[in-house]
Amino acid sequence: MSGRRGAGLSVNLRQCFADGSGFELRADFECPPTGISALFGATGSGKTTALHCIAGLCGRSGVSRVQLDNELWQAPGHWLPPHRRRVGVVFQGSRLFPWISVEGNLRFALRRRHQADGIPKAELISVLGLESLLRRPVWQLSGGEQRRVALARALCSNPQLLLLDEPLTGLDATWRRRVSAYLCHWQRITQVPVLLVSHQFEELLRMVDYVIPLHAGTTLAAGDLAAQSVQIDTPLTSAESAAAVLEGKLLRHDNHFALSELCVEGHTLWLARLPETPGQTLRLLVPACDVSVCLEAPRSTSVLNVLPATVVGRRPLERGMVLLRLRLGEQYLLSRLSRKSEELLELRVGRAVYAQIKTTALYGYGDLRQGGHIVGEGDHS
Amino acid sequence: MDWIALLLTLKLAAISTLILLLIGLPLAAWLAASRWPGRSVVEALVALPLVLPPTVIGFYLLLALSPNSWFGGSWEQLTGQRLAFSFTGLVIGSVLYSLPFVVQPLQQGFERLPQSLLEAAAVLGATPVDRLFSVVLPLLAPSLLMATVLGFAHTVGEFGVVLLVGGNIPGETRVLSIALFDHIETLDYAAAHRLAGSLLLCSLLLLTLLYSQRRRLRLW
Repeated sequence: MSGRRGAGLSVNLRQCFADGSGFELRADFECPPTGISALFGATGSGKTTALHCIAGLCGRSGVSRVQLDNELWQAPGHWLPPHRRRVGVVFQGSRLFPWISVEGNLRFALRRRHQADGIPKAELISVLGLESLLRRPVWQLSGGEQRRVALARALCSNPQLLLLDEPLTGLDATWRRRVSAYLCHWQRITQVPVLLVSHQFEELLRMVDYVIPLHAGTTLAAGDLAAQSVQIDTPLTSAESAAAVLEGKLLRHDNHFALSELCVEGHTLWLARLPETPGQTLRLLVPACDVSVCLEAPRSTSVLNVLPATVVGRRPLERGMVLLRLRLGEQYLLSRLSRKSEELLELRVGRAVYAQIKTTALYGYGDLRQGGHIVGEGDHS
Repeated sequence: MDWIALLLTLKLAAISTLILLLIGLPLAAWLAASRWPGRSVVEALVALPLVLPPTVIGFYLLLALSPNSWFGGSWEQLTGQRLAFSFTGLVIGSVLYSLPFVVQPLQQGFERLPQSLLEAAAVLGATPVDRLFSVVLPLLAPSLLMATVLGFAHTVGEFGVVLLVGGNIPGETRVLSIALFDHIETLDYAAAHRLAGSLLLCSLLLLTLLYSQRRRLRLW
């Protein structure tokens, strides 16, 4: 399919709600013209509302502005109704039409598709495993099946912008992997920008390139996933689940100990054996609470992964804890430790330290954005 | 059997139901969507036939339809036809009398329309008119069936309004319920039994069919 030119999605949302909650959405962000972006925030931060506003489902009120490439969708005095925005939405509830079958739902989208061509219906049916469901009425489907049908329906309409509200919720582990892999593949083939909404960090890790943090209805500075994961002053990292994203190259597998060796910034990292083939670039999730710090290289330790790093930032947390930002070459790590340890080791900014990461704490993910990793029947290369 | 009365009744019910649906659909849609405070007055007006004795409605209708009234007079000037004691007058009376039986189920149907599905259809590219036919109608089907059957059955079953507005002209205003009343007055109980029994049976069949179909349609 042809390459894509354009400025991507540009959004300034100002939406007050007259329901007495006093909640106000003040979201300003831009999504890159291609790739998968994520609005990330806690439940109730306004992610879903923002998505609905972009699709044109929040009414014309307010002074919001939405523009995709050169096409102005919404501005003061200007309004493009939702059916003319050529947008695909996968809602939180699957919102399938209950009076027609699964195939009827897909046909509904296909007949009104936003642009000619697009991915063939047969491919979507096969990749999302819908062959045996086509004739079933919608109310007979399980939650996970409904999610897959809803995604297939949205892709059938061949949108120029895809909005996904927690797209992997309700899917089991296998389907999570398949769906996220296929979404990355779909994005690469169609070059259509994708904006998803999530409150689960792991979900982002699998497929997202660009993160827009959203806190209590207000967007914060956005950036690449790896950079965002180690911004210690955002709500993303204040949670207990804070974790840094590292990128590294898979060197080899050690079959005797069932480990895999990764090269990160010239240093070796060991983690539980991965299914990927050596040579691939992987993303690695390093939870902040599994990174400890010492001043000298430990001689006898059970921890296999010891990396030299520099303290470059700190943020005090609740309950006597502190979050440290450590630089490791070009990349960063997070370490969550007690303020007492910080005091004892005199861990000031600029201090050279050794970061210890337990092998069992590391999670590696094949970097799905690089391609060649599609699970499903048929040839999609 | 009173075949002429039967045919007339079916014709009256069919025409009235058609008009009721044509009026009822937009009225119900408006009542379901409107935020206007005066909406309650309109709702009350629609519901009046439920509580008023049919003779009250019949009495006022008779006055309105008479050539001396503003409405009946202008109608006669426009069409050259008299409304009181005519089939057309009967249709007007039936429509008013059965209005709540059509509007109320439709209004409930419109109020229960899931906005979420309309939104989903919109982002899939369905225009407002497209949505009306491809989403609203299928979702409204159970209410539409209910309204049609109730409107039809209620028109077949009316008596008081018909008696006052239409009188008892064979082939013009003598519907089944009037024929039955006639039989009872003349003590022709055999004919009355035939008529009453078949009306009872037909209504029971119609309603049974309605409720069974409604359950099937609601299954989703």
